[in-house]
Amino acid sequence: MDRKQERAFEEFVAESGDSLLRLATLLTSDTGLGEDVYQETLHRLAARWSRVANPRAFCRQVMRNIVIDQSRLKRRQVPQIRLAAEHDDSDPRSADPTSAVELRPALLDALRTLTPQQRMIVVLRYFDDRSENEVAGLLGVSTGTVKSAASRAMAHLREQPGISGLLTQTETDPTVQRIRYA
Amino acid sequence: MPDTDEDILRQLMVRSTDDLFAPPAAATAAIRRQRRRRLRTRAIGAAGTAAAAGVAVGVLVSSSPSPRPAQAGRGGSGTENATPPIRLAAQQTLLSLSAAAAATPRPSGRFVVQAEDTDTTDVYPAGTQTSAGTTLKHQEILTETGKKTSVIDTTNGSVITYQDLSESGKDPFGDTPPAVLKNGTGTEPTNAQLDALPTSTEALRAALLAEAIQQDQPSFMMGPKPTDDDMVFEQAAQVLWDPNLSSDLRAALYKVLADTPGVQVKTDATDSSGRPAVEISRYEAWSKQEVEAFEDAKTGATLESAWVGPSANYAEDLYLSVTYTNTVPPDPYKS
Repeated sequence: MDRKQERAFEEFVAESGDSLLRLATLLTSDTGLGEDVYQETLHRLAARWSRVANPRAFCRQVMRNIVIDQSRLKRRQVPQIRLAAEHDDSDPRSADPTSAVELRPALLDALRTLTPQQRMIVVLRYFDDRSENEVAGLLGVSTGTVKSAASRAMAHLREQPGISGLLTQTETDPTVQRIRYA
Repeated sequence: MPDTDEDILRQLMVRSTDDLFAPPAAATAAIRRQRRRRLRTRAIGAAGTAAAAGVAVGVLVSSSPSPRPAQAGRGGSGTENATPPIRLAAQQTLLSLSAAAAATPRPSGRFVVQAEDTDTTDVYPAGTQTSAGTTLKHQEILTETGKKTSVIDTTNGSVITYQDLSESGKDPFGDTPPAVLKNGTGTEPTNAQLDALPTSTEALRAALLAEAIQQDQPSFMMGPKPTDDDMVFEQAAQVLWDPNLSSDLRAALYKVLADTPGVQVKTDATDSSGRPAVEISRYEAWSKQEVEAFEDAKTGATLESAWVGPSANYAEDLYLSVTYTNTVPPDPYKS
């Protein structure tokens, strides 16, 4: 990269870094692994910056590859410290049951119970707002697979104790209903 | 109010991560790695684990170096915690390397011929645009293996690189790597430029720091920045990689390292190819990266250098041989 490209790269990271880190965290269901995946994604992007037409799509694909191919990552030896365990009652956010510090451990635990493909579908569809066609293309599966896997994943998440109370226990997404009753 | 469980899940995911912010140094670290690879045009990444199963003999502590987190999956990483009592052992080893370098004259010969090994793997995802204007339909894994020999003209810094393409993988971008690369004058430092560097410890440290500041531009970095010691160590390791240093300069570089806090030394390590080596390393807290150099104890010559981290990132450059000649040798890989 020349200086101009470096500046463009830095601008992209400044603009998209937070959302990419959050995406990586959800895709891996682990804040530590998410940071590793984020960092490695940036390295790969920097190496091919001048050739990548859509950096965000590139990052999404790289993250997908890393998550699928877990063998490419060194597994962390130290168990993740749960934020809830460090929770301070004097923190005013503690009164908010839906604050990030309260929600994250339960949500990541629930996401971790999904298969990697289910997790990617749920995160890409509902967090990254990718269409079913986009997710299907990204994962190399059919649109029908995306729909059915998303449906199964939602059903599974409704049974997870950490977040079950937050979900409605009903399937009101018309897309899901169409699949089920078609 | 969200209408569906999908909407609720969306909000849960957004709210549970909205306090996560990307570390500002991440972009800078990625750029620096690219700069290193570009600057070191004659060096190649050689995959594999350095079998540095040596015994740690010491770490230099004169300030408060950051504790170095354990590096998973890699041996020979040295002591984890710096302790002053063994400080002299590390310094003594570096001064011994300095003495060995001082006693090893620079070989004569206009051209430095460096044979190196390549073994790198890159993954290109589906959807990546190629230089030919096409889009990859499937993920491609590019593995570059083989050998490369660079010929450096020490009088003008030009470089000719012969590449052994017989084992090279297919490039998904449609690029055909050339068998011979020619880079013009000034690509590498000349002997005259290297000889112009000071050889007193204090002046050399100042020169290394000035060069590092010019290269890294830390004032423009976002987030954590390298310390002066970080920059001096990395710059010294970078200069040590040049095989055609004068004996005085190489000796002085080791003395600079002996005065740099946080440097770790192991005496009976081995490089990736199994050669006995002294491993010199230093962890940079700001970049979460360890910079390593493997040196020949008998001559003070660098055998290998490596960057470990952050996370699973790893890169290393390994010399197979370094020779000197007064004529440009032919392509050793041309059949």
